[in-house]
Amino acid sequence: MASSSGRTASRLLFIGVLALMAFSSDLLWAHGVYIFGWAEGDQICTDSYFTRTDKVQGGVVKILQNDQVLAEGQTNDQGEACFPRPKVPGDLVLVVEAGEGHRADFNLRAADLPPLTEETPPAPVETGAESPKSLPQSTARAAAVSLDEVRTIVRDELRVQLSPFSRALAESQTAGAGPPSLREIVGGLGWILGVFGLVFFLSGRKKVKN
Amino acid sequence: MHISEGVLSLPVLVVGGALTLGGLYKGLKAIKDEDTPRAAILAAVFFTASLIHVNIGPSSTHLILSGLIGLIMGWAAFPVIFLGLLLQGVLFSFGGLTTLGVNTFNMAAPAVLVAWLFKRSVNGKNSSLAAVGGFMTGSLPILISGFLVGFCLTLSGERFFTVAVAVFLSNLPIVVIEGLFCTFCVQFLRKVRPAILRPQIA
Repeated sequence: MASSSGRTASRLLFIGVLALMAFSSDLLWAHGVYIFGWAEGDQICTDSYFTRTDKVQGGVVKILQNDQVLAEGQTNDQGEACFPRPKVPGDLVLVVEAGEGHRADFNLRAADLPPLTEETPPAPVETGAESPKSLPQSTARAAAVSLDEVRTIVRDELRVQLSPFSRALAESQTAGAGPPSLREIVGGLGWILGVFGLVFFLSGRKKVKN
Repeated sequence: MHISEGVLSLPVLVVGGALTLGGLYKGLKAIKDEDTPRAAILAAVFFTASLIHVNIGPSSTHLILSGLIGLIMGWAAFPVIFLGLLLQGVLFSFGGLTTLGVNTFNMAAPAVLVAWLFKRSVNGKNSSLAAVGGFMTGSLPILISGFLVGFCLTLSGERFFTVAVAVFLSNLPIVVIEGLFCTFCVQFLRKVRPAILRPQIA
């Protein structure tokens, strides 16, 4: 009777532990923090996550160039953080610190970044002998201004349209650095059994020899 | 609990590595031939359990089960946890190779210490005391490990109070979960095979 009630209590306790685990966690197969970054116009944006659906919220993100911290900020609820792009060209290292010693970094090479948008100087207004005689001076100035405007509009539009592709490209670089798959976990278990199997074999062989 | 690469200062890494080497020496000596399959299974349990993570605030934590490993393996918890962490570092980049020594010590040392403290109550005749001992064996190592993580980060430049509070809060659910899980395991093993709960902890 006593052992039966003890068994019931044990089962209830076990169910309770499982329920507590289920309610307090996402039960995701992962542990590790990851970051990737991309250029979005005159900004460098980053995305930090534990898994694709579990973002780092409130984590500290730093932009480093030659071991110098150029910018520092916190991730938002979506795990993103954006910073003004450094004016000095060069490779950047994006670092996220997600607390309790969780840290990850991502290298953003200067070669992978589009050129910085610069204030386009107004087109020189051609005057005198160099001015085309067939075009009046006021018309030339208007044409130059409108060309600048067109350039700005095209640039802004391209920036908006290409932004998702820049992000996807950066994300693809971290394709291998993500939560482990079931296959990788089973592979790890195989390693453990293999290592201990080898130890067992060597120890057994030693005994047989003796 | 996994401290990543590039976070800790060199002296902390060296001291952590040296302490772990000592623990590994003691642990490998403690493993007898008949303990090898048990050590393999517990290494596999540790390796897998650490992959289940709980999302809390900006950080995430996970099951460790170090207390249970300490209770069953004694000093051999060092090699068991070391192998699990090594494979996690190599295969998944969790933690890291340079922080392997510190991470192993932070998880294995509290497990061995608490198992030694509560070994008698877990193996005693009083079932209630055994349950309390089981809970403490599961939960206390997590708290101590969290303290050690905070301490290591402080030695490497972070503010202790901030880190300690963050580590404590993020591990609180795991402390409870592991305590209950260990209680269940102790009660089960006491009935089925009590000899497993008597490791040689000198």
